[in-house]
Amino acid sequence: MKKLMTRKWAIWLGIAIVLIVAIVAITASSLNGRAGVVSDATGSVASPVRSAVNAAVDWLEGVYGYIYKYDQLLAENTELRRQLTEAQEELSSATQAEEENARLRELLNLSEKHSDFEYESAKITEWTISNWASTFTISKGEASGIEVGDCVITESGELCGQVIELGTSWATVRTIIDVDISIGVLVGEGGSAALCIGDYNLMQSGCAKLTYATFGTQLVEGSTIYTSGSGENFPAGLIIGTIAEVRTEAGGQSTYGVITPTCEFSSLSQVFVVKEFIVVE
Amino acid sequence: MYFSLINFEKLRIAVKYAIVLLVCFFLQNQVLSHVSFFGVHPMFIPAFVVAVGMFSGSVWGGVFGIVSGIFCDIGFAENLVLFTISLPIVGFVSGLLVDWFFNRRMFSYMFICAAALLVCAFLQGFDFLFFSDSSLTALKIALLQVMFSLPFAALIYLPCKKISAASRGMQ
Repeated sequence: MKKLMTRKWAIWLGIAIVLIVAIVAITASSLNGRAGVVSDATGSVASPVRSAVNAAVDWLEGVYGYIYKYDQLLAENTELRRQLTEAQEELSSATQAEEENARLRELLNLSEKHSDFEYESAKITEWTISNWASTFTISKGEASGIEVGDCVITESGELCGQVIELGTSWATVRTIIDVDISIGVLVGEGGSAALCIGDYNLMQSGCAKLTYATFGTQLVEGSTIYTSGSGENFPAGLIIGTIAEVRTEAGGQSTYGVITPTCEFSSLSQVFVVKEFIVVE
Repeated sequence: MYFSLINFEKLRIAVKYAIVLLVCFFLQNQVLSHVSFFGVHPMFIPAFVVAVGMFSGSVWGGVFGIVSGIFCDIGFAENLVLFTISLPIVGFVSGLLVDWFFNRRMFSYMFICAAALLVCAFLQGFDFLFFSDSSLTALKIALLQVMFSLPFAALIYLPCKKISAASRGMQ
C-alpha cells in the first residue's frame, strides 16, 4: 500500500515537473518572438510536409480550374488584356512625368525621392487554423536574414502583414486584419495621420479598423490608406487598403473607418519580406 | 538487464496513441486549414485527449494532454501556454468522470467531448467574449467551432477504443 501511494505521488510529481518545464520553456522563448527549440524543431520538421500538401492542393486547384472555370478564365484574360493596355498608356505618361520630375529636381538641386527595399521572397506554406487570429506561415526564416517585426508585402507593394514569430527556416506572419495589429497610417490625399488596428468583428469579414484619426480629419469612403512610416517597422507609402465604410462608434462620439485591404488574402501564395529599407522623402 | 525495466506493453500503447495523435494533427493543420464551414475551422484535438483519458485512465489523459497541449500552442500563434495548461486538465478530468459517473460508450464520449470542446473554445475566445465589443460574434464563432469539431471527434472514438481494448487483452 505504501509503495503504491509513493509510486502514485512520484507519477504526479513527474507530470507536474514536466508541465512546469514546458510552460517555462514556451513562455521564455516566446517573449521576444524567437521560437523556442521545440517550436523551431516542430516547424522545421513540418515545413516539408506543409510544402508537399500545398503543392498537392495547388495541383488539385489547377485541375479544378481547368475543368470548371475555363469560360471564367477566358473572360478574366480579356479583362486583364484591357487593363494591361490602359496600364501601358498610363506608364507612357508616367515616364514623361518622371523625366520632367528629374529635370526639375536637378534644377532645384533636390535629391531624388526614392525607396530602397531589400526583399526576401517567400511562399506561404500554411494558413492558421485558428478562428481567433489571422496569421500564416512562410517558407523562410532567420537563416534568410528575416527578423521579428519585418513587414511583409505582395508583389504589387501592398502591405499584407508583419513577422511575429521566427524559426530557422520558417516564420509566422500576422496579417493586417488580425486583432493584434497596429499600424500608423496616412489617410487619403491630405495625408492625415490615423491608426489601423484589428477588430474581431471586422476580421470575420476580412477588414480592419481605421481609428484615432487626427482631430478634424474627415473620413471619406474610397480614400486610400498608406503606411505613415512611424515606428520604423513599416516603410512609408505602402498601400494598405481603402475605406469601404464610415461608421459611428458605440458611444456615438466619434467615427471610425472600415478598411478593406487591397491585398487579396484568398489568392495570396507568394509574399516578400522587407528586411531593410531606406525611404528618402 | 536494463530492458527489463521498460514496460514494453505500455510503450506499445503509447506509440499507438502517438500515431493517432499525429494523424489528428496532420488532419487538423494540413487538411482542415484549407477547409472551413461558414468561415470557421474545426478544432478537435481536445477530443483525442478526452478519448485517451476515457479509455486509458486519468494519468494517461493528463500525459497526452501535456503533449497535445504543447503542440497545439506551437500551432496557434496567439496562444502562449493555454492548451499546455488546459488539455492535461481535460484529459485528467475525463478519466475521473469515466471512473465515477460515465460509461465508455459513444454517447458519453460525445457528451464529454462537447463539454471539453466548449471549454477550450471559450478559453481561446475569453478576451473577445468578456473584454471586447465583439462578444456576440465571439460566442457565435465558439459555438460553430464546437459544432463543426464534433463530427471529427466521433472519428477518434473507435481507434482509441481499439487501442484500449488491445491493451486490456494483453493484461
